[in-house]
Amino acid sequence: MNKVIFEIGTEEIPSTYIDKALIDLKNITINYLKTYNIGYGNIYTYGTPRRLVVYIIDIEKQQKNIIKKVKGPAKNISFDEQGNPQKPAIKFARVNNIKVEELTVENTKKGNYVFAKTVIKGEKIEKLLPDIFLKIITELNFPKSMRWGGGSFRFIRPIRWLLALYNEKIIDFNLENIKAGNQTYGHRLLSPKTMKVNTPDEYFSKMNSCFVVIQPEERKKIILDQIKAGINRISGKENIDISLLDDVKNLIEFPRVLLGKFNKSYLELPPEVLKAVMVKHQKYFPAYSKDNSLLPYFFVVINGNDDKYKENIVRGNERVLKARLEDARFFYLEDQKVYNKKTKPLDNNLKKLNDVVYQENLGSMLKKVERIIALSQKIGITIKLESNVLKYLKRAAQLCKSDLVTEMVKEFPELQGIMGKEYALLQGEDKQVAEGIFEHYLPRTSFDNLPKTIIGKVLSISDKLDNITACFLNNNVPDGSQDPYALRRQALGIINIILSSKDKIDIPLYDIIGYSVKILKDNSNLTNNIDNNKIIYEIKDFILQRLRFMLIEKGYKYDILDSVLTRSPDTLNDALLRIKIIQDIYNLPRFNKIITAATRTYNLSKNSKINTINRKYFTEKEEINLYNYYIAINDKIEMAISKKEYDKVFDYLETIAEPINTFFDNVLVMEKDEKIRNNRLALLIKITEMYYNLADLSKIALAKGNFDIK
Amino acid sequence: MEKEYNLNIQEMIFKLEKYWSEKGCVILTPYDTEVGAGTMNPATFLRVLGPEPWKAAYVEPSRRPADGRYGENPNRVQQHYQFQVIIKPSPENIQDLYLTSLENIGIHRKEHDIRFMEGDWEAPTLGAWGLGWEVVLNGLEITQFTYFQQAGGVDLNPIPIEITYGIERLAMIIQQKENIYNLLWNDYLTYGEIQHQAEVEQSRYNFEEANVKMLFYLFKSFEEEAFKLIGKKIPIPAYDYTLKCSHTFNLLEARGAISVTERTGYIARVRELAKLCAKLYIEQREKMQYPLLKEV
Repeated sequence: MNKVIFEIGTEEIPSTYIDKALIDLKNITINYLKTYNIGYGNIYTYGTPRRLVVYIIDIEKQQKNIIKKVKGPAKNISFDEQGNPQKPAIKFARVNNIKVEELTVENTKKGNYVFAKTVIKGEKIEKLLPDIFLKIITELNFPKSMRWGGGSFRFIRPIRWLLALYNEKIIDFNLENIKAGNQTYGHRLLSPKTMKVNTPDEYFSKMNSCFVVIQPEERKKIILDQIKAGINRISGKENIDISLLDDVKNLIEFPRVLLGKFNKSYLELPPEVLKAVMVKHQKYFPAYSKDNSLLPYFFVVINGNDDKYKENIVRGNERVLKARLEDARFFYLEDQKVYNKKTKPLDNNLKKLNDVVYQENLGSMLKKVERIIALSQKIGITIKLESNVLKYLKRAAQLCKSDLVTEMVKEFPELQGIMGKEYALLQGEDKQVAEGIFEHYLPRTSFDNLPKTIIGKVLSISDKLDNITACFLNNNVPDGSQDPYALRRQALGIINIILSSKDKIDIPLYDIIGYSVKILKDNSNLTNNIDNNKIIYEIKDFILQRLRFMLIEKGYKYDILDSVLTRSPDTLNDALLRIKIIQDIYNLPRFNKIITAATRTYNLSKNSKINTINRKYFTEKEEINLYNYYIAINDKIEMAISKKEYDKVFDYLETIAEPINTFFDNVLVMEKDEKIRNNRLALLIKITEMYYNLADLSKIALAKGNFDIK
Repeated sequence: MEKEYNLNIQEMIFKLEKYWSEKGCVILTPYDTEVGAGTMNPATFLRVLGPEPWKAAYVEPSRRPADGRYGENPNRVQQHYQFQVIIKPSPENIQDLYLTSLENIGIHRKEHDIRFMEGDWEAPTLGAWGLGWEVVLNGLEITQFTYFQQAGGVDLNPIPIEITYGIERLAMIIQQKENIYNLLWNDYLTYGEIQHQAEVEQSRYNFEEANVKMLFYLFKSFEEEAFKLIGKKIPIPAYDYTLKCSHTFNLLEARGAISVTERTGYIARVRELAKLCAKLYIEQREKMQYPLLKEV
């Protein structure tokens, strides 16, 4: 069986890029083998911080032959009646490098033509692999790349060697001054010498012997097993941070887990602080007791295995953690120092927020706090919160950014909100206030929890909406894959909070966004003259587009979403309600009936603008009948819409389908008499308006199908 | 006989100097104006520009006024020492050279957990950035290892490698000390005995006594001088005044005299000077026909 191994040897690739690089590497290789017409059995990729590896098994010895067929002159001019080749045939054969006898005749739409079939013999793959390997390296992209030495090639980190073997043969090529060969390196610390690899199979045993586990998943399993064993040893509870594990597995080539200790007294610090120090800064796994509280232990994953030096390595890590925790304790105590009856630490921090920039041109964080207070009160009043809740909401809004200037958050930015809550409780704020401060950052990622308290929800919506409005006013609107302020995630956060809230948060979007725009313009240094109405609609549309995106992912039909969202419903709950109703009846025959009638009405009247009906111009009984039907259900539909009883709307619309069809079958709309014609058009426009009150039904795929038939 | 383990600070420095000297580096002295890092020494910032090869190593006392802790924190000081290595173009075996340099001061690669952890580096006041790592030894960052990509806003070619050892950090590992002030500088005097009073007094100066009005005046004067010298086409003195601006800005910041809003503006002003110096320096070297290229 023919095999290929290709190893790109590098200096340490940052852990976060490795998993993705291995997927890309596989896809790129597959693509090139396809482009080059090379058959293969299977492709695997492996990787560590110091190597990205492609392994191809059962690769074919050479490219598949390529058969090329060229159309030539018509048969009747190529051969005479006896079938003797004439000049055009002879010339065509010569041009294509084949004998005249080898020409074939085929029947085409345009008659019989002469064809030349030539076979291009596939190349041996040894000849193609250098080119393929170079293309693979060049195509492998990383979000950041660099140059090194005197070269101009860019990669995530310097490439130091290339190992490329086809069975026992070296694939000979150069990447700038790096020559591919059969040499590789083992573990940087434990086996630093070069090693010769004779065949692809041997690569794997060599890696094994030089302390390199090339499969990321295998490293992950080794770490997991060793941590589990460690947890057993200290009778702890299994609570292993998987995203940390995924990161750590790509920091090392040969994992080994060691158990370290720290002084119990540090457990007095808030657990979030301990976790931040251990996980974010040191990449240690914290240890938990059966009741989920922290134990004074940690697991550190090291890149080596020498038992002799284990103690020393653990002691070093313990010393570093101790110094960090000592710092954290110092900050924690410092932050609480300013305390007297008049000013509590968090209130005291408010004036420091004046010095923190929120966003260029948009003033300080203090200004932002003022806006969050105003906006959250406005929302609170809109959704009719009780006065004592409004009071707590205001207090939480006032303090929600105060932790940004604490020493702790300056040192550990990821603790924003968490420290705010801690310090709020320490300075005697109500629990609702403290929880609101923490929750206003939620959801922090796409997978994070949503706020649970009403104060947290309203504050989170206010903070996020202010961010969105600020960026829109400041021209930092997401564009394609660029969304540096994570506005899409924040809009989605607002949507999820509102739609999944048991407390009803029915916010009229236009008004609230309008208010947000107003207060931003009032208290910032923005000098541009942006049209308020335009920006409000842009923001509203941005939020509705996120709703559309979210619902498509949940399996809603895009045409239903478009039909409802183009009407720009004013609350998210209302939008969802309309969408759900249509989704429910979408596949029923009655919906087809409604859409068909609606489409006929719409198509005929869409170019007309007259909408005053005058009864005395009606001449036919079918139009009078239709008009009466319209008058009868229009009020009912408006009533049902105002009560949000949208299912009823479709019941009524169904009843008018029959009179509409009778009308079209018996009445000629485009009557010569202008008055009569306009009157009929006006009736149709009124009916269309009624139809499209709930949703723009012309966006429904079913309706578009009808247009096509016409 | 020469010691291999438990080196004091000056033995450690000697060994590093000897090692990098043998690798062809010119061993320089610290610069004579205040800098925040060895990178700012013209032996790095200016020499990395342009096509000429360059290899240098030197100790750099690095001032970070805001890090002052009145001599009370066992890990933080307002002036620490860096050992700086700068080599252009970056050699192929540079990571190995570095690990071997550690073995020279008694840190053997098989005995420790040494990791190259992603650490991208940026110096906004210098318009410089690079990609590389923090070298972490048993959980402690001991070195910054950076392939410079830009300096003074200029794309570099060839690419230099900068290795910045934290002298105190390394010494704390080698001497197994938990307090910076207990480190032995030589076998008789401690770091504390040499530096502690300075830490206390400089902290007082940085946070309490520095004359803000004078510093603002100085910043402006230094800036004007730098611009003037750029106009006269003498980049090296102009760069000196850029460094003075940078240090004055750091003092003002430590003193709490610059709000976060203004901060961006001051950084941009220093960066502007650094960029102009870089551009001018490249022009001058070109005019001189890159004298160091001739050695190759």
